[in-house]
Order: sequence, then C-alpha cells, then structure tokens
Amino acid sequence: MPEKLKMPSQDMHSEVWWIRVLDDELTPDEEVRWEAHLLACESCRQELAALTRVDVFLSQVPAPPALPAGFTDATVQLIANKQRWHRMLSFLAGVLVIAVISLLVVGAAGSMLSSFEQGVGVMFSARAILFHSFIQTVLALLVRWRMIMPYMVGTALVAYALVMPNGLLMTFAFVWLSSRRRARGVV
Amino acid sequence: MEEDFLRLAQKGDAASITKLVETYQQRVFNVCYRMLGEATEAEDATQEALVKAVTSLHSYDIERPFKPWILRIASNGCIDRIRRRKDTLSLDGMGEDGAWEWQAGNSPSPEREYLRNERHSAVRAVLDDLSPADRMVVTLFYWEGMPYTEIEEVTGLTVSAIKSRLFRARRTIAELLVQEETYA
Repeated sequence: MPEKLKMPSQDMHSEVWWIRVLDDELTPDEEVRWEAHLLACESCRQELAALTRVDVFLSQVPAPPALPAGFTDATVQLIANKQRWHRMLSFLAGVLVIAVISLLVVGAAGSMLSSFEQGVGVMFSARAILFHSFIQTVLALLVRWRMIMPYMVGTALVAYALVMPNGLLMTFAFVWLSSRRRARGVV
Repeated sequence: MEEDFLRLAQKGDAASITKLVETYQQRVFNVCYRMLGEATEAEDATQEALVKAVTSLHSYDIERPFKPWILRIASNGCIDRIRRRKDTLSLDGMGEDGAWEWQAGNSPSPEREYLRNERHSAVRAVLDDLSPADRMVVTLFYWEGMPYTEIEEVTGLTVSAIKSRLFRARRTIAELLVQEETYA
C-alpha cells in the first residue's frame, strides 16, 4: 500500500482532522501547520473556540446526587424477590416440560403397543386363513380327484405336446422305427 | 478480588450480591441520571439495571470486565426509557391548539428546573437535543471518563464511530450554547 494512503486526512476542514485536533493526535509538524492555518482561517478559529467552550461547559456540570439511604436494601430485596419468582417459574416450567414429555412418551408407547398388537393379530389371522385355505384345497382334491384327474392329465399332455414338441415327435419316431425293424426281422 | 465475589454472586450468594450492588449502584445511577436528567427516574432505571444484571449473571463472561457489561445494560434501559418517553409525549403532550404543552404531574417543568439549578437545567436542555446514543457517548466520555475502548464495549459501536458521534455531539452542543447565549 502506498504511504500516502495510510496517512490520515490532511484536509484541515475535515471531520477526521478535527477529531485528531481534539484528541491531541497531531504530529509536531502538523501542529505547526495547524497553528499557521488558525491564524489565517477565521471560521476554524471560531469553531475551535466553540468546541473548547463545550469541554469547559460539560466539565463544570455538577455531580449527580447521591443515592438515597436504603437504596441498596431495596434493590437487594427486589433481586431476591425476582430470583424467587425465577426459581418458581423455572420449577413450574420444568414440571410442565416433564408433564408434556411424559404425555408424549405415554401416548407414543400406547400407540406403538396398539400397532404391535394389531400386527401380531394380523400375522396370526393371516396364518389361520392360509392354513384354512390349504386344508380346504386338500379336502376338495381328495373328494373330487376322479373328476379332476382327466382334466389334469389332459392339461399335462397338452402342456407336454406344446412345450416339448421335439420330445413327442422323437418318441413317435422311435416307436415307429422299432415296429418297422421288428416287422422286417419277422419277414 | 472482584472476580471472586462475582463468581459467588453467580452462584446466588446473598452477601456477594449485596456487595455487587453496593459497588456499582452509584456508577450506574450516575450514567442513568446523566441520560435521563431526573433523579427519580434514574433511580428506577438503576434498580432495573441492577436487578436485570444480577438475574442474568449466568450469561456474563467472568473473564471480561464487569463495569462495561452492567453499564451496557443500564444504557440500553435508559435508551428504551427515552424512546418510551418520546412516544408518550407524542401521544399525550399535544394541546388543543396542536402545540406542545407541559404535562402536570410528570417531572418538574424545565423552567422550574432552571430556577432550581441553572446549570443542571442548561445541561439537560442541551443533552435533550442529542440522540440517545450520542447522549450515551457524551456521558461516558465526559462524566465517566471512559477511554474509547471501554465506550466501545458499553455501546457496541466502533472506536471510529464513537469519535465521529462525539465530535458531532460536541458541534451540536456548541451550536446550542451559541443559541442560548444569543437568546439570553
């Protein structure tokens, strides 16, 4: 950073300069220039005189009165009362918070328990329904197996013919060739 | 030394709290009195600040100086009071003709105050024309003799802002003094 930028304002009518004057922060060289400026500048002379009078005026202000007797006791009493209230409010707030948390915990636990019970119930009833259906199916198969068997065999054959056509053809071909060979040997 | 009774006061020790109040009450009152200009209101503000400071001691950092902390509480309280006072004045202070009139039953009139204590009245009149923040800076600098760094801690303003405010307040006071002399 250039040295010039670090230096405070040299404008003698600026606020920064005046603050430095009032705080006795001018360097000896600046002091000399300032004195010279004051001799030439009427408005600065007047302003400096006015500001100096302000310092005198404010320094002559009478001291504030002393506090009345009993002020300390009254204040300490007030503090004690306030602290008692704070403690009571803290206690009540604590009780309230605990009560709310307890209610929430009990509510959540109750809801969780009810869900668990429902889950267990569904699991058991689902198992019973499945078992019941399975028994009914087995019983129906046992009772109606004669009626069902042809349909089942037919379905199996169709499925075999459809799904394994090469296997069926090979079987037919094998049976046909065997019968031909047997016929030749006989001849 | 001070740190010891501050620690004890933080724990709620009654004797330490009493000592704390005794040590700082006059300093706090001085600032409140300069800010508010009336002894009765300044006493109320002092009591309020001390009660607030002691009841919120748990939030005070024991490593930091106590004086700026408590003066900050007091100054904020005074600034609030001045603002409230101005609000009340704006609602209740206007007469039928729309001009401001003195409210009987409040603090004594500036005229009576002037007769009772000419100097005090003059200072009050001058300070009343400053903004609450400027009044605080002037109070701390001139009457509490605080350095800029301590004023910084009390007001929360930067040192350059404090210097600037103080300079402008000085200029305003200088103008008011010239006006007073002219009228006199």
